[in-house]
Amino acid sequence: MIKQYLTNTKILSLAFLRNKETVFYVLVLPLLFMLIFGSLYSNGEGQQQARVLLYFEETAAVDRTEIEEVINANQSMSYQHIDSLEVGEQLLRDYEAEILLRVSETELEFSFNPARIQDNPALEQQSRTIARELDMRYYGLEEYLQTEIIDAGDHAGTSQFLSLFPGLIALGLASSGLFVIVELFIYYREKGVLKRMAASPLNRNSFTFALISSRMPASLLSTALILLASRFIFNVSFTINWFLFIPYILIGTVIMMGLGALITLFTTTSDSGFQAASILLTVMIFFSGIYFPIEFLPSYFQQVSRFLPLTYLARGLQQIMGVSPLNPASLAVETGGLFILSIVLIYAVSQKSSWVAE
Amino acid sequence: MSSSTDRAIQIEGLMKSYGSLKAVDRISFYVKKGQIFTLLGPNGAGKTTTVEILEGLKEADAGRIEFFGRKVDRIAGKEKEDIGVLLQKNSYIEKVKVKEMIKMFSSFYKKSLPVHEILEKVALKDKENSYVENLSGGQQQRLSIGLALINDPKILYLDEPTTGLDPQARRNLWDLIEALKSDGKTIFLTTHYMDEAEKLSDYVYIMDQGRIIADGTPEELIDNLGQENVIDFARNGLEDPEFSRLKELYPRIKSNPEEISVYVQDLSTALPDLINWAETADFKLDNLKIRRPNLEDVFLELTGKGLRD
Amino acid sequence: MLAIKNIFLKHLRKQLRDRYSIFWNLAFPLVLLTILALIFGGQTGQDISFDISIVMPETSQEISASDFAYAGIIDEVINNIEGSEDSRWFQFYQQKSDQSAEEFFSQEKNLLEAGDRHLILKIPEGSLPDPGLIAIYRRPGSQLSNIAADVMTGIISEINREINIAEGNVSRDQLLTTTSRQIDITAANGAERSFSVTEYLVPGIILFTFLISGVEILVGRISSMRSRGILKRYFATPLKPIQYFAGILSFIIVLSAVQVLLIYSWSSFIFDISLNIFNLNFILYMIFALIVSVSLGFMVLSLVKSRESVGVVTNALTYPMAFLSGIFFEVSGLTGILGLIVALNPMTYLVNGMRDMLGIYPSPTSELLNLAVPLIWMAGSIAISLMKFSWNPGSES
Repeated sequence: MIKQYLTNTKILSLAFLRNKETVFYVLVLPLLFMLIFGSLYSNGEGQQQARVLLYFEETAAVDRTEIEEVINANQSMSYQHIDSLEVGEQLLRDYEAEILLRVSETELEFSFNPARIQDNPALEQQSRTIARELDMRYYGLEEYLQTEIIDAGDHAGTSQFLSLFPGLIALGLASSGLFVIVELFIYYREKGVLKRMAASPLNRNSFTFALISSRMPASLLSTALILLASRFIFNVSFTINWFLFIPYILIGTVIMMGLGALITLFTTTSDSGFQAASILLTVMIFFSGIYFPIEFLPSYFQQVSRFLPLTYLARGLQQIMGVSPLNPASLAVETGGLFILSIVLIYAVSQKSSWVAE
Repeated sequence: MSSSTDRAIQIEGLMKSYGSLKAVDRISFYVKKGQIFTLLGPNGAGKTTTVEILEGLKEADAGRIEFFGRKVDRIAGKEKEDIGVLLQKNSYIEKVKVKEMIKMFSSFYKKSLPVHEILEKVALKDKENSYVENLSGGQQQRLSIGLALINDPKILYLDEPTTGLDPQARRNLWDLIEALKSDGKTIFLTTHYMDEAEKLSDYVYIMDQGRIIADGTPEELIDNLGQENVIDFARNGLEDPEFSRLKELYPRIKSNPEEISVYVQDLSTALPDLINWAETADFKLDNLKIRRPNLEDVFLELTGKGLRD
Repeated sequence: MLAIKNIFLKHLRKQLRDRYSIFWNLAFPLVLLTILALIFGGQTGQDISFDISIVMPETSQEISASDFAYAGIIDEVINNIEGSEDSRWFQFYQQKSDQSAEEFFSQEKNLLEAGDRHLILKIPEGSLPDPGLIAIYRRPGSQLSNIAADVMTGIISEINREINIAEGNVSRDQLLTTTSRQIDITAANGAERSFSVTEYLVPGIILFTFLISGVEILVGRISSMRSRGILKRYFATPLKPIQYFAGILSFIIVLSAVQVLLIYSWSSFIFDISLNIFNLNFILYMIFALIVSVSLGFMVLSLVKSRESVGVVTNALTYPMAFLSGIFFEVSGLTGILGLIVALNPMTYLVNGMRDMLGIYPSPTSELLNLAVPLIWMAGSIAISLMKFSWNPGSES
């Protein structure tokens, strides 16, 4: 029995990894998303300098050197003088600069390009820093009330950027696990593959278990690739609790299979099963809050994320990877609940399914 | 008749219906060990349903099955250990190599033959590292037979094994089946090719509309026709009234738009009569052939229709 | 002509009969437009409200009630905000009278971590003129929490200025005044207009559907029929490849036209924006974009033979081409290899050109490049297709 399980797991794993679509969706796509979204969100981390355009009107009461010094003191900004506002606006529009500062009398006017949707909040923050520094330094203003920003849970630097990586791992697990139940119980039944196996004394549960296990090497490989790439491309490393992490990768894959089992319960042809799974995967990419911030969506859209396993998977991974504070109780309840539900669903599908197509 | 100890399978009153359609209608037969047994019949006769019940893929509504002397309610895991199966349509998991597929199926059984032995038996040694889906039709069929042999089965079910194969691949497969018989395997064959049944079978059951309508060795079945010879000739557009004249002359006559077959006892009187008729009717006797009757003729005689109609 | 019509109808029927094709090709672009417009457009700004907890120090009532205690100052500021129009942006939470500050803080911190609060402000003891430190606890993973922290920092620096004026350190007219604005976007026709994310997205989504039509739908259909040898059998009949090509191209053109109309109507009715897409220049440019995409599709079909590989290659092409072109969001900040991909990507120029023509956003790349780069891709693809393309099934690799 053990030998049967091991032989089948090995052969099915190889077959899965030989499939070019598998390689693309499980191994390549998360890396592609990492490059694209990682680069986008890392901008907000202040890795790129904000270029400030300075335009002084004749009436300007603030000294040029004062502003230059303030900007120079700030590592994340650089400046350039311009001769007219029109030139400045054109540079903003052509994405050649981020901030345009016009000084007239004692007025500072900061201009931004509205098309920089993701960057503008950070840029406005930087502008306020310039104004405050000028106040403090050159008018001798006292800072009676100081502020200190503390990130909750002592997890400094957590952000859309860092939480992206656990999300990418979750995506890899989804691609690895989501389609397998549809494949086994609908596609292979339609093709008559199961019928041939049903004519042998094969233990069906053992085979189902082998097929589930056969996705694990792909999940682990995908995870390892994402961790390595995040290290070498974005220079981020995680404090990973490996004793939780490895089992979580396996459990996460099973949870995605459970979702696939749910689809299988409601579909009759493999075509609609696979299509429904792809639609669900796309929905999860948009609404799990991993790749796109969903806080700005209307609340009824945000509710969608509550029903998507990918949301919980990504949240669990964030905790285990040290991106957000570990909350063992909620982790155990959410993951444990989904895991048990998935097992029940997979079992239900395997009991309900006939291996002999009529 | 044979004693019950040399029977591989015996069934009695086997029945299976789908809704109002009686696919298998209370049939009984037995299969002798070490023989090639053929269930012959047109498409939809109930052959596949019968064989799938015996493979354990379907459950009968009623009837008794005896498997190598043991009464069973249905064919389950224990019996499947001794059964080899070639389905009508065989399809496998993708991206698996021939060698791996054999290993995989080996793991399904308690006892199995070594992989290389199977590869040699079905002559696929040089294809062991190819993906199954990339094999040709004949190679895939050989692999399927290899997989059916993996557990060194006592009985082998081959459901329409040569359908869709080219003539060369068909002959290769016949040789393989005969070799298996000489290894002592019991083989249960279903086919709608009468030449296949005639060439391979030790014993034939003819099935139509869920019932067995005749049985015997191919020779017995043909002899039972009571006709020694068949004369075939091209129809050449023959119509009444000449055709009616011919029918009066030879009461046992079968025809289709291309060909006419007359069944006769004694050629020495039948042939001159035919030539006389042709001269009177001014009919040209083309493609005249004299042959022994075959199973197709038996089937025609029994049902009034062809096997492949 | 009849043959072309039949091929066209065959593909059209296939599109209309398959509900998944209807979803992916007709409904999905609209869904995508809506989601992205909502995410990036701040259409729901009205709904946003910050949940902020204020943890007051445990000092005697007497001291906190004094005008100079920070607790008192903050309390007044909050009362002012709650009494003003700005109150809709904030929901403040304060400890009950029988609750200790520590107890309240740990309770609120749990709520913050669970996502039910955006911010906690811990107000210091002490009073003017001694300096005090306000601790602002935020949840960095949350965009709204970060924005709330920025807003509160701004409010506190405003308080500081007021205190400075009150203390006589500086007079009000000496102080710097700070304003910020978004620049106007000068359209090609010279009219200034304000920026709209939805308008910005519309040409992007249109171009995205063209990319999918050329590189996925066309490629998928041809490669599926080619690999099964169906096309080879077709051409054994009097049907000529050019007729087949014309038939399937007509289908792609009709599909694209329907998509453009759908996206246009959707953006007009749902988002209430009006774009003049029916001007000749823009229509010609759209046709150009579609031809570029179809040529790219044929290049893929020419270079990749097996059906399985074709599926993977088209996906591996469309994701980067769509995401790294500014179709969905602005990507000018990208550097290195990704920046290079953006610069080489014909979609970058096509979407810039489309936005410029509609007066949505002036193209950061020159008009010449917006024509030349896609044209080079098109010419290259056609050249490769002429040399390598075959209607016959290739050997499976």
